[in-house]
Amino acid sequence: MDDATAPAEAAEPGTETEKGAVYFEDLEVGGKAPVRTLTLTRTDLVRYAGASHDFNPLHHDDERARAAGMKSVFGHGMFSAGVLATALTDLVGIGNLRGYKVRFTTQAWPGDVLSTDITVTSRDEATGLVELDCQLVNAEGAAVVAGSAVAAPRRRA
Amino acid sequence: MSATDFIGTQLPPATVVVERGAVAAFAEAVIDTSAVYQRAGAAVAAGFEDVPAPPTFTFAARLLGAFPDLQPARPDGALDTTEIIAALRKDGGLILHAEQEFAYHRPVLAGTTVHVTGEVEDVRVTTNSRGKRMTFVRLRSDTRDEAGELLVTEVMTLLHRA
Repeated sequence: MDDATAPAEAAEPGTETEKGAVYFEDLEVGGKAPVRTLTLTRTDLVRYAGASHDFNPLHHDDERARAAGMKSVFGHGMFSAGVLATALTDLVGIGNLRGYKVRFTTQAWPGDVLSTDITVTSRDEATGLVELDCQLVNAEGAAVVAGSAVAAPRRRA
Repeated sequence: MSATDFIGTQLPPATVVVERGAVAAFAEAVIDTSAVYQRAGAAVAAGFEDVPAPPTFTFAARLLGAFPDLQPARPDGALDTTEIIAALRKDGGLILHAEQEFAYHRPVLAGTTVHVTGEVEDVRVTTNSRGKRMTFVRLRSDTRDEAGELLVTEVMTLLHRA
């Protein structure tokens, strides 16, 4: 997954240096995180199936998916939730999430262009906590998963 | 038996090994390219004692690291998620994973062994506008470290539509 402005190929894992998560002081209510975009492939689904041991055939076997009345395989809800969590920790820093919840609202299909949409909804100076609305939306603007998060981003000394 | 009778049912406890390879592969699968998940030095530089697990890892952890020889005895009356789904669907209907939530207390670290317990926290039965019965089942799981400190609390909400 890349910034919307970056080329489509993801970097090799482990080659990125510090992601430069934001400081609490830099977040304001109504502010948006950089949009990250992914074109969903069957390889993404197979990789998630292997890494999560979720081998429900509806997510990797087109024949079985069609027999179940679907047009093709479709994404694991927890794959979409995981991708959205990646965008959240890219913003607030790994280890700084305090809560995260999502509703699964529609399917993600291979070829779908999925974009993250993260908005700061509250910011508490005393606790250092921010609340965020977050969703992963397809090209039609429909949310695949939608939810919210609470985070404690790093603060300037 | 009505669905609300499941409230309080224990999920089988599990002892789960958090392997570094599983954590690294999971991070790649959720398209996270951070060095923190791939390089122990980067994790330490980011303030962790070891490589941390990504935010949604614990949802999969039981399938990845609950090796059979480590598992505690299954308490009488405990039901796993598959058995709860089968019981809800005994007269048909559709099961959906409606919601998932996480509360993070401390990081889950590669190289550790964690203990997971859980229960059916709540069951709510409603009727939708088309007269279909909607049963929402909240399954709570708590992941603790070897010292018993709470690391992550999760709630999986299943929806049975019949």
